[in-house]
Amino acid sequence: MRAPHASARRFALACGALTTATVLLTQPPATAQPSLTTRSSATAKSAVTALPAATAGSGAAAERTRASTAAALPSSPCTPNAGVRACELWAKTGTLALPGGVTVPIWGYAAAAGDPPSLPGPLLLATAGETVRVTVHNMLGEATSLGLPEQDVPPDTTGAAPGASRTYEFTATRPGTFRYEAGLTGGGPRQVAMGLAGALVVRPASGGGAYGTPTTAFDDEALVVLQGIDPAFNAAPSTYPMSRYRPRYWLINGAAYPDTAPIPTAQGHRLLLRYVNAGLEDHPMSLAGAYQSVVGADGREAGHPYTVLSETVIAGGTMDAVVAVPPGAPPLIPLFEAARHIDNAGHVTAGTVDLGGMLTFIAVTP
Amino acid sequence: MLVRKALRAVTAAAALVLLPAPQAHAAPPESGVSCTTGPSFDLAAADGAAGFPDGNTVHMWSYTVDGNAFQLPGPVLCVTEGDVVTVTLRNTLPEPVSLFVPGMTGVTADGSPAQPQFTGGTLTSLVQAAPPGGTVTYRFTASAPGTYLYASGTDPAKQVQMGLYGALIVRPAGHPDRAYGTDASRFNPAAEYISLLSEVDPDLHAAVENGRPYDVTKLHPRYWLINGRSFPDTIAPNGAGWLPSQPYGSLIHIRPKDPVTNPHPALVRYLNAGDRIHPFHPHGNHGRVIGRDAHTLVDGADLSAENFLADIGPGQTWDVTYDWTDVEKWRPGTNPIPVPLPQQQNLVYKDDATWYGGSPYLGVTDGLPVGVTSYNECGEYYQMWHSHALNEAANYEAGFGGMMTLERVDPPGGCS
Repeated sequence: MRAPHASARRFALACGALTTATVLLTQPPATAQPSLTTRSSATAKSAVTALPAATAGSGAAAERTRASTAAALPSSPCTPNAGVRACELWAKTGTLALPGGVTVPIWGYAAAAGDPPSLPGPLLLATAGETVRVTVHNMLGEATSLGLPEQDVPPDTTGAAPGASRTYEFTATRPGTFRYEAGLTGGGPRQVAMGLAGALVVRPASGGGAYGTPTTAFDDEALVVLQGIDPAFNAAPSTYPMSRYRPRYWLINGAAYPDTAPIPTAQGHRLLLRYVNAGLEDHPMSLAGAYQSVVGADGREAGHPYTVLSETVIAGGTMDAVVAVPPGAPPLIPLFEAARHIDNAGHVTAGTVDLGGMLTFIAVTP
Repeated sequence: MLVRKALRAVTAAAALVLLPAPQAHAAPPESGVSCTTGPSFDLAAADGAAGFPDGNTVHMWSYTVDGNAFQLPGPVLCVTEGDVVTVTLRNTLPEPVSLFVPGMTGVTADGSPAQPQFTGGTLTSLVQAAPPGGTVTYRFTASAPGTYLYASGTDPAKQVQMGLYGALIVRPAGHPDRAYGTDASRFNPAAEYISLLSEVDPDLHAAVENGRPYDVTKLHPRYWLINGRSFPDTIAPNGAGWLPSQPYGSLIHIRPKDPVTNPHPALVRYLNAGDRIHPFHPHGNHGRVIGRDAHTLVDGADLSAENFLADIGPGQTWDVTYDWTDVEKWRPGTNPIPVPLPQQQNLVYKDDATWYGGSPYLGVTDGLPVGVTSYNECGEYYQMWHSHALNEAANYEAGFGGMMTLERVDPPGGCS
């Protein structure tokens, strides 16, 4: 049984084909929670989030958007105040429930001192031009710092001591999809493998879309954060030989199929997928029956978007891809890792490898 | 950038293979794409065996033309844009099998929209499957030209590794010499190639053959295939009699670019059915990527780019054009190579065999030391094309082998 945890609750569920209700983040999962499968898990990814797409999408497109069917980013703990976006993260130990009744220890970021940590960490959300101030409270047993690739923050090789806090500040100069993770202390690499990583999204100051341009306009958007779990490593994070690190579970937004949340959208919508590879391996991500246009990578708008079925999101990289959901699109568009990391520790039922891992569906309403 | 080298080394294993010999029959072509033409296909999912250059034979599953002998990979299905394509799959394997074309839209299966299949709430297949002993018929309109990968969407972690994959080509209506919609994607139809990349872990195959469990997280490929073969089998002709279940070679056989006699490039359609990213590296010249996943990069704004290494990821298809240009035009006497040529006695021919013709000049052969066998016919050049993940240039970890083939450049007038 999969235990609820913060990130799962935070990620959008809203399987639009099946529900019209908006479930607030703080509410417990409704008993009639929509589910593509007959999951018995109570986690069934409750939450509908909801940055209204109108704030980010193109105007005409936004008018077509119905909140109940629109994928949106998870909520962010960052609060704006006079041009400063203040975010607080608590680095702490926790657990992650995986399919098959497996629970592994994790290290992750939580959005509040009393929250359990989540995989991935809470979304850091800002608008271009703002000052972003991120405070990390270290509740781990070793020093940890924050790494912000692409941002103007000097590498911190000291970090916060156990029980201490450290604040990082930068100006979000450019829009895009970025990554944050445990920084360059001695234990940093192992901390990232344990789960101390998340997405940073910077919205354009004007113009809408992912980059303030018409070609990056969207109606709905979703984070697709990719991570792997090797339970043997997680059981002994400080001593396990990394030469033997080999993930056996593959996560989208902290969950392996069938626990992954579907991504709701509608026919005719432009769905922005913000991929963040926070794992240690490259992942080719493919659709079936629909294509994605790569409009950005690593926080840079693509000069010339190109359209593919499958594109590799490299370890540490990010990619922004727009799915123009065709008018006749089927109700379920598979989104999966094409290197066949679509199993859960190779679990087999009656001679067939159970479908799991980095697999979810784009749930399309007419 | 141009690198021009005659390939001088040859492995012992390669010595077992002769250069493509003229075929008695015109079909299939000696090299290049060997089409099974549609638009209706009767296929069977079947088991059989594939042989590898180290002498190993591995149990495989694949798609075959129903009634024909087992083959790996599945047949190259060729249709024309606008065709209504029908694929009837008869399943002779002991578990449900499907034929899934992720790049195709508007597919139906037995008349219903193709869609993921759930049984008791559990996802069992990404598309409708044929049960053991049963059939399923897929139908779709080939609305967009390009290169498509097909593979089983049922238990892909096992079934695709077992060999259930193949290529589908949709040609533009009226223009078999274009990859896409305009002359910007024009190529030489006599130089059209498929390079379908995949891997084989023989331990998994033995487990399936013998009904033993296997942990797919421990997958460890030992054979690295292009079109179902490992080097040096890759350079044997299509339909080589000693490779009865692996009908497709991957030798790239071209002539120098010439504005009058050979103005259009070769086209290589790469597909990756494996679960590794294969950094594929042609020698001799750059390739130009003109399309990805059945989407043009050259019709309209020219988004094509040249490279000498294409990172072909799983589930992807890449359309790459290729010219070989005789830039220096070295000729004996009139334009000699301006450095002293190495003397024969200073050259070593591994295993006393070589593709080198004894002369560095294109179209010229010369003497080789006594006892050295040359496979060269008329002074043609050979260059390696291979995965640059060099552990993949091996057969069961012994090199050279694996995901490697050759480009053969004939003199302008051919090798007659």
